[in-house]
Amino acid sequence: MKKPSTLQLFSSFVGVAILFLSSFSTVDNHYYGDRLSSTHLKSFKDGNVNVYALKENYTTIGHSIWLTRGGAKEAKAVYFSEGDVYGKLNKWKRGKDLILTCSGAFSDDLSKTNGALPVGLNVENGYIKNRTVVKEGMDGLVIVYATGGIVVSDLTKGDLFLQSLGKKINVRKDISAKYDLLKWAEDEKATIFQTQLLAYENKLKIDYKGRKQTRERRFLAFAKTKSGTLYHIIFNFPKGEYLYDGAKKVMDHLNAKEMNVIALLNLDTGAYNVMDLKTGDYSIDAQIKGSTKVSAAVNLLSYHYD
Amino acid sequence: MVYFLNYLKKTVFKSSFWGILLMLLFPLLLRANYLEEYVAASKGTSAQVFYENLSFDSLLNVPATDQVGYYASIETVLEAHDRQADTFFLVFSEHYLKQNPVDVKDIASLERAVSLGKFLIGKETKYYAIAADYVFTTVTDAMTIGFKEETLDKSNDAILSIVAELKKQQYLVSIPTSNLDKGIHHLKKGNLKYIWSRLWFDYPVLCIVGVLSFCFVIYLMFKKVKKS
Repeated sequence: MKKPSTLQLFSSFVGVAILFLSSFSTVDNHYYGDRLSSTHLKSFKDGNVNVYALKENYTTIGHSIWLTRGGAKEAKAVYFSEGDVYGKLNKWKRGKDLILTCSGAFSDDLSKTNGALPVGLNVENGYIKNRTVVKEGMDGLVIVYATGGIVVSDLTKGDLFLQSLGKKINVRKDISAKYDLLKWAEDEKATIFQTQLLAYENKLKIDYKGRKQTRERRFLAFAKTKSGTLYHIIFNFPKGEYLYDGAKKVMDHLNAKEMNVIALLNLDTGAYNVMDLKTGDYSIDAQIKGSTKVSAAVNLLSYHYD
Repeated sequence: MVYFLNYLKKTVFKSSFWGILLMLLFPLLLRANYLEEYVAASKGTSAQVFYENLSFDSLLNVPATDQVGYYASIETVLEAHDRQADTFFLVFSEHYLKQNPVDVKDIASLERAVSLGKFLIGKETKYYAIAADYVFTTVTDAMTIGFKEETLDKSNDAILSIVAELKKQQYLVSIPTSNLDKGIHHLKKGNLKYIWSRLWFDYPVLCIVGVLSFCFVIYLMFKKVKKS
C-alpha cells in the first residue's frame, strides 16, 4: 500500500473535523412539519380498535392506535407504576384480552437509592407510591379509574373536580386538597400519575422550547368526535421528533378530522421504551414495537377488553 | 494531696456534672413549663384565642438531641389539657419552618426538619398528615432545587441518606444526572440499544464516521491476517 502524502492526511483530518463539528450544530428553531396523512392498516375487536400508518410527504413516520371508549364494548385502561410491574401485569391479565401495553409516565431509577420510583404524584390501585407533586414541567394529573376510564386534569388550572368529594382539587396550591385526593384514591383504589401535558382543551401547551432534542415519541391523546364518541389514541413516532413538532402534528391531524382534543399526554420513551401491540398481525405488531421488552419495564400502561 | 483531690472530685466535678446537666435540661424544662402554664391558664378559651396568644418562639428552640421526645412531651401536655395536638402541630410546623427555613447547605437543619416530619407522619389524623406533608414537601422541594442548582453534593453520603429517608417516606427528590452518568448506568445494565439511539439522535454524523472507522479497522485487521 502506498503511503499517503501529508496533504492527503491533512485533508482527511479536516474532512473528519468538519463532519465532527457539524454534528454539534445548533437547534433549528423552525417547525417544518407537514400535515400528517393516515393509511388504515387494521381494524379489530368489532371495529373498536383501529391501527393507522402516519405519513408525512409519503414517508411513514409513525402509527396511531385508536381505541373506542363508551358503548357496551370498550377498551379499558390499567396502570402499574412501580415495582414488579411485569409480574403485576401477568397476574392482572388472566382472563382478559390484552390489546396493547406501553411505558407510561417517567420513572427515576438513576438516583443513588435503590429501586425506580415514579416521578411526580403517584398512587397505584390505592397504594401511594410518591407524594411529591412536581411543580414545573409536568402539568398533567391523570386518574385511571378502576372501571378502566381515564380523566386528565391541568395542574396549572387546578380544576380537577371530584364528584364524590363535591369540590375542585388544586394539589399544587392546597395541601389540604392534596390530602383529600390521596385519601380518596386510597379509598377508591384509584390510580394517579403525573406526566407532561402537551395539549389541553384543544390548545397546545408547549412552544418552541420543546424543540430541544429529537427522540422517539409516544403520546396518548383523549379526543372526541363531533358526535361525542370518545377515543383514546396512542401516537407512536419511532424515528425521532422534537417534542413540539410531534405534539403539533398530532393536534393538527386530529383537528383536521374535526376532533376535539381533551388532553394530549407525553409518554416515556427513554431507557424503558416499551410498546407491545397485539393485533394478531405480526407484520403490524413488529413495526410498532418498542426497543425494551415488557419484562424490563419500570411502569406500564395497558389496554384490554374484558 | 489525695484528700484534696477527692474533695475536688466530690464537690467541683460533681457539681459541674450537675451544672452541665442542668444547663442542658433547663431550656427544655423552661419550655415545658411555659407550655404547661400557658395551657393551664388558657383553659376554656377557644382555639383561635389559644393560638393567637401562644408564644411559639418559646417552643421553637427544639433541643439538638431527642427531638422526638421533645415533640412527644408537647403532645402529652396538650392532650392532658384536652387541647388538639394535631391542629397544634399543623400550626407549629408552619412556625418551625418559618423560623428555621430549610437550608440545603446546613445538613443538620435538613435532618431536624426530617425528624419533625417523621414524628408527624406516624400519627393517624388528617392534620398530622397535612403537617407531615408540609414539612416533607418543603425539604424535598428545597433539595430538588439544591441538586438542580448544584448547591447540593450528590456524592455526599449524609445528603444521600436524607434522600433515602425521604424516599422511604414516599417523597422523591429528583437528582439530575449527566449524560455521561446516564451512559455509564445503561452500559452497566447492558442497555446498548438505548445508548445507540441517544447517540444516533444527537450525533448522527459522528455515528456514521464511527461506524465507517470501525469497518475500516476491521478491514485492515482482516487484510493483515490474510497476509500473514
